[in-house]
Amino acid sequence: MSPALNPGAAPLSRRAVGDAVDRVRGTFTFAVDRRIEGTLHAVAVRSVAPHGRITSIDAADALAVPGVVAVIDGSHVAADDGISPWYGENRADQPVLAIGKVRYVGEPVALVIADSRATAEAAAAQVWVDIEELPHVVDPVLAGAPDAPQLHDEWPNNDSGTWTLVHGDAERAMATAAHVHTATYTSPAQNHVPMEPHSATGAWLPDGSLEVWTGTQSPYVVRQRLATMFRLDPDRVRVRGDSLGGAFGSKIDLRLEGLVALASRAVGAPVRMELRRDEVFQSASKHAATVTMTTGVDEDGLLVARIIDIVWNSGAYALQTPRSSRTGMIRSPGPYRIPHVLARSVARYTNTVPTGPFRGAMTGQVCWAHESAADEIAAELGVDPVEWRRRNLLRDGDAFATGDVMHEMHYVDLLTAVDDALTADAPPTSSTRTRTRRRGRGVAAVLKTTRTPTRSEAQVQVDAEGQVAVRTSAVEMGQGAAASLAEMAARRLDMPAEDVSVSWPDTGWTPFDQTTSSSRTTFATGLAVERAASDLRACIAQQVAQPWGITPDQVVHRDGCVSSPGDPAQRMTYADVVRSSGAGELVGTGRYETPPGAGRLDPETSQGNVSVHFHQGVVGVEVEVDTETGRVHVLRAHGATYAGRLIDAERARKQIEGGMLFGLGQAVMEETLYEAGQMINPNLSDYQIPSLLDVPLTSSTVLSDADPDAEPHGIGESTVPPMAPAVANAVHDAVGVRIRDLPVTAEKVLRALREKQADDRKN
Amino acid sequence: MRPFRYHRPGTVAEAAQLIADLGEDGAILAGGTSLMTLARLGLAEPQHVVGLAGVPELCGIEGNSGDGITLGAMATLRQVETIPPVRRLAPGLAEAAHQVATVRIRNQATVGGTLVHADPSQDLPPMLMVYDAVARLTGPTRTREVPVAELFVDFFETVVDPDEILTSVHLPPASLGVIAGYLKFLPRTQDDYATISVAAGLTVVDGCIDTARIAVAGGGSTPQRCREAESALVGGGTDVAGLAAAADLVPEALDPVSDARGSGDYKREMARISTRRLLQRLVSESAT
Repeated sequence: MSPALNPGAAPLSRRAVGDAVDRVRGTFTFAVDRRIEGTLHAVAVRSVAPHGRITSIDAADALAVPGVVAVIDGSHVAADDGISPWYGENRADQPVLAIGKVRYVGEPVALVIADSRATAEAAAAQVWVDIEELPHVVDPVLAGAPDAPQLHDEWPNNDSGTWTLVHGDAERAMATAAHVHTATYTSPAQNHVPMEPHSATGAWLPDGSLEVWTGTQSPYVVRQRLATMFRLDPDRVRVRGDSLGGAFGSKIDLRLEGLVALASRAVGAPVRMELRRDEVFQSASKHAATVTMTTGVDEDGLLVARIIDIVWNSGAYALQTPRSSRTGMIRSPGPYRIPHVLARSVARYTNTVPTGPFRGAMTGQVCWAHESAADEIAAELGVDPVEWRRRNLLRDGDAFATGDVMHEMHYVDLLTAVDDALTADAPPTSSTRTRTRRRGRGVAAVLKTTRTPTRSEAQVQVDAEGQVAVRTSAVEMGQGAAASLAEMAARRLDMPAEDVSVSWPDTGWTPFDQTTSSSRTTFATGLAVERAASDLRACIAQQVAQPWGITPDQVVHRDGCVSSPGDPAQRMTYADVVRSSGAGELVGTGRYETPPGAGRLDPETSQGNVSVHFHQGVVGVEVEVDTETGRVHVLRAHGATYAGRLIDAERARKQIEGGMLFGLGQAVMEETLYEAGQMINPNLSDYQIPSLLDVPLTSSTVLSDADPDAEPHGIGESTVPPMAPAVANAVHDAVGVRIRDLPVTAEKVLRALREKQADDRKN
Repeated sequence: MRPFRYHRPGTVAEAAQLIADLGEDGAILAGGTSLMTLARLGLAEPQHVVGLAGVPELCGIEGNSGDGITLGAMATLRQVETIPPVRRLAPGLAEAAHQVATVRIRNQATVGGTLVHADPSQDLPPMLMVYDAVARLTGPTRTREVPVAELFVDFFETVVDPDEILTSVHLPPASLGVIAGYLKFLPRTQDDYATISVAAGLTVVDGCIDTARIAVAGGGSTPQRCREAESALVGGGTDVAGLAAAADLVPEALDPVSDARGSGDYKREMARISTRRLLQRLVSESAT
């Protein structure tokens, strides 16, 4: 079946600039549209119990359904010497199919493989799974109690990662502070809600190698996981990607790839899976978190110390949590100059959907705390919250909580841009403040580290037809990465970006890239592409310089042609150069890697160089609150970020404004709800995301560095985390109530208003 | 979704015969915005689907002030929203239709479907109650008429028998003189189902409320008339205190479930606030 999965030897590629037309017409091809002839279809049988021992699985009825080919479960997997079923980034705690035990509602227990998805779906309902239920726990704080149900024997106390950050002596400094503020802020589990559900197709080739087509953000991570799981050399696993219809972190690491590979191995044919929406909800979640923050300031309102305690809900399996919970902890002090910081972070397993990165990963939860606290502290000091931030925000030369000495800090300018945008209009007059509608404004800032250490590789090549192709393993998922990479290559080659094609990821052909996440693609993959394009440019110049009797650096590149400055007759297209070289194609290679030692932190104190640069974002919103219903309307939002060297202003603005809309849902409406250990709203009717009708007036500021040698900075996440605290701060400005538990629903606001009215009457 | 056999009758009689023959294995498909969603979720698994799209006698909307308005069961909510006789004679109904989800849904969803589906949060039913609308049901042996206010039994359950088809809904001419309006409370997205919604209609004669209708959706297992609040209004003035006092009676008539759209208590309170606001709006409209 190799030909079926292998329509072309070389990686597929497309013109990236201008793909919006296909997206609007509905002719753009996403991963879920990929159909490979002759595939069977698998559907997962999922646990209906939050925690329990599997006592029996009876597949006889399902196997009797016409069209069903096989049913496999964890016992088959455990008995197969060719499989290491447990996986995870930091600890292999998650089985590809439940083995012996289930740990959350929705966990895959068995796979039904049939000739159609409908048949597999119908038969899956006839696999009878007996589970002896165990006590379950969904709250990460309760999961830390001594008598709490234990999810994993190997990982006691439900601990899925414990970290500390020690910078100075926060406890001693706190005692000297003129004013101390403390509060606890909670944020719930939320779903990424990519419009495109997850899908993958896997097949074993006759030579014993494995090939998988999948909608993934991290082709090389998937390759490594599959190689480990099926005890193969990584070169024997080929992971081929497509464009994604949104991902937001939900398509990182192993998702369906292990399942389709397992199914294909069992039946000897290619097998495809595609998730229903409720299964998307059951596959990945944002970490719920409880953050307690104690802050000390001096007489002038300057920060002297901050002590932070974080409890993360990692869900039933750790995946990246042991690493990422530390990353979140490191960002928790916020973008402020604080001489003394102590942060303690613990992540706990619970019987809920496993968590993973979520746009603005591990940062929304802590930003919610430090930016709500910022306004509360300013209010207690009687200082304007914008002014309080201006005094305390990080500037060049300040030390961050990791000891990093900060550079390229633009917070004060970003804050000023947001404040100016919000105050540009006349302040709301009394006519807009009707009796029951009050307006308010709020701002919030965020600091996010970028993935460090990190590595990306790229190739840029030109063939005898003059076709220029960029080959990377970066993933286009609606963020415009492919278009930006095409532009970066085209500029180095002095040719139109429209003429540059960009590959889909294909680990058989495209070079290593760590992941498409953490807002790293334009930066890390982009720099690798630029270096590859420069390498190709030098290679082309080399080819013509000697025959023309000039040095390579004298060669003029323009519009996809080279020429000699002194002699108009000496002019060749890139295609001519390739043809005359006799090489068939010319290839440039490039690589970006963070400097040695970058990202290395002290294991006890988390001091060190945490990030090669810092993502900086500030958001401001104006809201209207209905005092009789609690309904919060976000009327407008302005986002600002620092882009380093700017690649494309329009795409940057779309990321900033799109990020605010993504954050809006988390701010006011999104929350996955659990009852008796089961998620009760895994659908887009009960779990809502903002619709077009809910979009406020948005605008943006992009600060950048005009230096052509400056590094581009990622900007895809910088306005997501600040949205929720900006809204809560604006609500407080409007009606004087403080919500510390996300989302800021109308009902919570109304309850707080009524309590405040009762208190006001008492006083 | 489980595959099914699709039937496409051309007349009401053919359709009625089909559903009688198919019994419990059959389901009627109008616009499909609910049935297909339920089928995709595995909550409905019909083996046979009887599509009504090819039955001309179920389509269309007719009306004038003398005869009232007749809405065919297959009239789309977009038609209800936009067609001149409805906009002119029953603007409250057009307003309620306008509030349903999105244009894409309204182009597909039908009057008959929204009634027979009997989701207690639908927008049209409370407004049809305000206009004293009557549904016409056709069965194998008889045709009968049931006021919309008496159509609903429980969550997703109506008095329509399994072998009956709802063919049309009639708004009597006497109902068309009311000043009616709809207030849908949406604390989350603007295309959500209502957390609570209120439909109301008043006639005001010489500053005195002559007739009143109030119906609420999302307040319990069915949409419901709030007759005590209506009675409190009739014969009274249009002062804010009187309207508020009537609105205060609405929460007692309701028994909303707590869910992702709000707690039961919150929904009750929002019904009170929404009723008062809507009545104030209608009174101010009656004065112009």
